[in-house]
Order: sequence, then structure tokens, then C-alpha cells
Amino acid sequence: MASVTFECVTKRFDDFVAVNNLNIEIEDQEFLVFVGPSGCGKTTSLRMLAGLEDVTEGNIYIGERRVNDMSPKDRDIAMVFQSYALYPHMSVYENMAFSLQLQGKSKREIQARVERAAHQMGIEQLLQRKPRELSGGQRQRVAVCRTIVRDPAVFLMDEPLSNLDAKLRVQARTEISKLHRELGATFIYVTHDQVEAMTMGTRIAILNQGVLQQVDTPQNLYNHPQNVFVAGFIGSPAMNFFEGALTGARENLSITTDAFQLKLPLERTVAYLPYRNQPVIFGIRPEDIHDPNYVPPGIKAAHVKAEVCMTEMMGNEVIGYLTTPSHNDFVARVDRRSEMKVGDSVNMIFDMDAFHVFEKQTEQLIT
Amino acid sequence: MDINKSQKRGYRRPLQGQRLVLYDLREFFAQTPVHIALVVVSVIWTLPSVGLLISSIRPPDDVLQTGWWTLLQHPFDFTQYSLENYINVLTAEGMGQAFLNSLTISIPATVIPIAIATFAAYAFSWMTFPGRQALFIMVVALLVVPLQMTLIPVLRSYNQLGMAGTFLGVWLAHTGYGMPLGIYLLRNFIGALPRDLIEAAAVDGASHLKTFTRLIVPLSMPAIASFAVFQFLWVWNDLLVALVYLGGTPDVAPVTLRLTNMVGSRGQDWHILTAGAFVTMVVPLIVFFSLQRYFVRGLLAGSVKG
Repeated sequence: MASVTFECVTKRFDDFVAVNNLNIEIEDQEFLVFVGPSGCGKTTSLRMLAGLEDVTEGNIYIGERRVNDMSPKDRDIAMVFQSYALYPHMSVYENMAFSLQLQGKSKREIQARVERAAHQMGIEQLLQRKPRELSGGQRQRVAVCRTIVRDPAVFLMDEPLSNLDAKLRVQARTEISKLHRELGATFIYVTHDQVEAMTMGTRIAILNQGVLQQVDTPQNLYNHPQNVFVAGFIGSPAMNFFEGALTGARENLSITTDAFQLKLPLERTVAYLPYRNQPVIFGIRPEDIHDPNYVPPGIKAAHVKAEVCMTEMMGNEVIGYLTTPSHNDFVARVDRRSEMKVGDSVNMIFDMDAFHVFEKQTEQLIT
Repeated sequence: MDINKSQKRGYRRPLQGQRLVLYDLREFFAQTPVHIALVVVSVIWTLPSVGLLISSIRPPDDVLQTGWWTLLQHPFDFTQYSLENYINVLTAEGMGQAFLNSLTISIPATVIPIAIATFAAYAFSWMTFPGRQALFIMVVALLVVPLQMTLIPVLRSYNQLGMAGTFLGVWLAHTGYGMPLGIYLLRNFIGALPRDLIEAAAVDGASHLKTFTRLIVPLSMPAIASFAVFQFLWVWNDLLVALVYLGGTPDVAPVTLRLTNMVGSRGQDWHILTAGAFVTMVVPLIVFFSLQRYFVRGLLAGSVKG
């Protein structure tokens, strides 16, 4: 069991900076998820930790040991690859036993450990099969099993679920979470799927273009995104953004955009005062915009006039795509009883307790 | 989803009954010209070899009096057949010894280059070292050097080293001549193995040597086999290299050399020559028919993966 530390880690491929000055401390037994769009450097970070990629600058520690120059086998890690990378000419048993054989373990011990791991993942009946005789879901289990057998300090997983169909993916997600609880090891997991990140991670690190945007628990990321990128990346449908400015005197400080002018709640104005008359970005999540006929009680309502462009009935909710008279598009997730129709003109209700204001230039949250 | 699938299946239901027979017949006649052409080409192509085979199993007098096709008039008259020629060729004419010599030359001259080329192909594909690309280009460039250019300098060094006329010398020569192609073919194959596999082995704790023996060699068997077929056939059929480096002494001469000598000394005795030719051909035939799968794959290597 071990903690993992990235200290000012930078990775360059010729001129391209894949990972830029990454600093993260991952505690023992944590389940940290790296998430971000493709090319954001999440897989590169994981590969540097695994020892498959050299570190250009900075240090990586596993526990107390600096591992920059260690070969992968000395790092006490195990990795699940996106393609699973099962050895095609070996049976499942041999696949799992391979690393133990290389460590020079006795036949007896290898058998005991392989069987224990197979039992844990419920694949005892597959041990004699070859990888090509397995379904996608079974291969994924075997790949995970191959890492458990070694009992490493840190588990690395590089998009292990991306080759599964949607239903299996949900099931495998819970299995991996359960495994993390049972093993009590440090898990580091790379995905581009924010749902996986939100459901599995104890903490999530969001990367964009090689730069770490925010590391936090799923709740905090969702409720307190530190910048526009994080706010837009987490949550589906994504947060709505309106460019505008903070205007008015202290008592009735308002956010003014092309689409609307809304008075901000008094208790939150203190933070925003220094940014008065400066360009800002106003963000609000789709679920904080309501159909005027179905407004939950006790919210600070503000009215915004808009026209319905399209609706999607999801069963448990309705997703409305709307546009303001000034042609600012936004999305609302409203009550399932809503009867919004395409072409309707509606006074949508914004919940003024649940908005975020970002500085326009730096795109950082104003707090 | 399920409904869609079954609809699709219904749509693709195969033709049945009479329509099926009609369809098959039409297919058959449409293909007929192609089949005829193929059969004609194959017959013309194999006819000389068939004549050779038949001549070699007829008694010497018959061979000199009538054409080989006369045997086909009474194919079941077994007095027409005789193994005398083969016994004669293998013992009196020294083909038996030559056959053993050929095996002694061909087997190591196949195994050595394969062993070296597989190691080299792995290094060129998966190990990073300075000058890797330049070295590989040099190896590939060697493919265009005609081996005739090397005969004199190599033979001179062999003479100085006392290796002329030894099997070791001819093994090393064939190794050198075969290796550029071997490295090139095998590198194409090994380089196309999934990177994840090699990395997984590294994370699992395998050194380069372990990765090579436990992963690369078993996975590259098809490519290794196809190169082995090429190399073996080329060494077996080789006359020039053997003649230059081994000289003509009967105790080391391979079948090809023996056969050429026989053409000189027994040029009129067709029954001997045909039997000798078949002794020379039998190993390539066995190798080709048992491994033709790999042979075809080897021809495709580089153009189609796997």
C-alpha cells in the first residue's frame, strides 16, 4: 500500500507539451480518477507513473521512493490496459501466472494466488480458456484479475471499460469500486467518461491540454467548479454560460447579459463587488432552470424570457433546448410534467441560489 | 434491437429448393471458362515434371526406346515399373551421400539466420538505442547487393581462415545472404504486434529476454515459419554458394552439385538423371506441401498484416 505523488511533472514530446507541471498528492487507498477530453495528458500521466514513458521534468514518488528512473517491474504497480493486452497464446491461468513466474514464486504459491484472484472476480471456470474464446466482458475481468494476482501497491487502469457495451460497463463499474473497497489499495484510473469518474472516484483530477484544472471530490467538483472548463466538463447536459457584466450599485448588483438582467442575492454580492463593471461569465446548470408551471418551492426565482427550440422527453425529465430573444441558446432540465412545446414562448425560472460567476479573462471562479 | 436482427435475418434467408439449384447451376456455368483455363495452365505447367517422374520409375531400356507416355496405355501393368534407377542413383552415383550433405548444409543454414534475425527484428522493433533507424536502413539496403559480388572477397578470407571447404563456412555464408530478408520480414511482423502486449509484459516484470522468449517468439511463429520455408528452399536449391565455398569434393557436395556433375558424366542416361532430379526435388516438395500455408503468408508479408 502506498501513496503516489506527482511533483512538478512535465512531459514533452519534441515541442509538444503533453503534461505541464502536474502536482498531485494521492493518498494511500485513494481511488483517484484522471478525466479530461482526448489529448489532455491523462493517459500520458498514467504511463509515466507506470514507467512506460520517461518523465521530462519533475519527480514521481510511490510511497517514499522516487521512481523516475525505475523500470516498471520495480515500481510495485499493476496495470489494466485499454485493450486488456492479454497474451493471446496463453490460457487465462498462464496469463495470470506470468508475472508471478517471473518473480520466481513456487508453483504451489502461484496456483493458490491465481485461484484466489479468480474466485474474487468469479472467473474460476475460465482459467483453462484462451483469450480469444472469451467475450469482451470476460476479457475485461481477466485483465483486472491479472493485476489482482500480483497484489501491487498501486493499481493503474487505462480506460478499462471503454470497450464494453453500456450495460456491462455499468456492472463493471460497480465491480471495480467494490474491488477497491475489498483490496484497500491505491487505484488510479483514467477515463474520458465523466459518469465513470463521478461514480467511481473518491477524488477526481480534471486535466485539459496537459494542465491540471482541479482535483477534488465528485461533489465539490460538481458544486464548486473552479473554472469554466471544469464547470462545462462535469455534468450532462453541460452547464449553460452567458457572457455579460456585473452592473449596478452594491445593494442591487446585477448580472447583465444580452439575454437578461438578473439581480444577485445580497449575501453573495461581497465577493463580486471588486469585479463590478468587468466582463464575466455567468454559469447555471440545466437542472437549476425550471418550467414556470413546476417551480420547486423555496427557490430564489428569476424570470428569463425564452423560446423553446426543441424538447426531449426522457421519461423522468424533459430536456428543453431554448433560445432567448437575443439568440443565446441554453438548455433546461425541467419537470417531467412540463408541457413545453416547440415554438412556445416561456418565462423560464432561474434558481438564483445555484449559479456561478467566472472572470471572463482568466475563466476562474469568482468567490 | 432483437426485432431488427430477426428482420435482417429474414431478409437474408438463403434461396431454397428449385431456385437454389438453378442459381447454383448458373454460378457453375458462369465460372466454367475460368475453371477450364486454370486446369489447362496447371496441366501444361506440371506436364514436364510428370514426364520426369514417370521416366525415373521405368526400366532403363524402356526409357531409351519409347516415350514416357506409352506407360499410360497400360497403367496397371506393374512390370513396367522399377525402382532400379533410384537404388542405382542413391548408391553408385553417390546421391545418398549428397542427400545427407544437403541436409547437413540446409538445416543449420536455416536455423542460424532465423535465430539471429528474430533477435535483431525484436531489437529493431521494440528496443530503443541510438542509431537504430540507420542500422535498420543499412540492413535493408543489403537486400539489393548481389551475392555474386561477395564471392571473391569472402572466399579469400575463408582461405586465409582455413574455412574454405568446411560446412561452417557455407553455413555462415548462407546466414549472411539470408539475413537481410529475414530481418526485414520478421521486423515487419514483430513491429506490428500490439504495443500494449509488450508494455504489459514490462509491467508484469519481464526483461527484454523474457519478453522475447515468452511472448515474441510464440506469437511470431507464423512469420518465423514462412521465413524458414523460404530460407530452407533457397539453401537446398543453391548450387553457386555451395560450389564456391565447398568445392567439388564428393564428401561435402550437396545434391545440386552432384546432379550437375551427373549431367556432365552421364548426360545420355535419362533414367539416372530423372531419378537424380527427383531425389533432389523430394525435400522441397515435402517442405512446400506441408508448410504452404506459411509460404503464401510469407509472400504476403508486409502487404497484408498477419
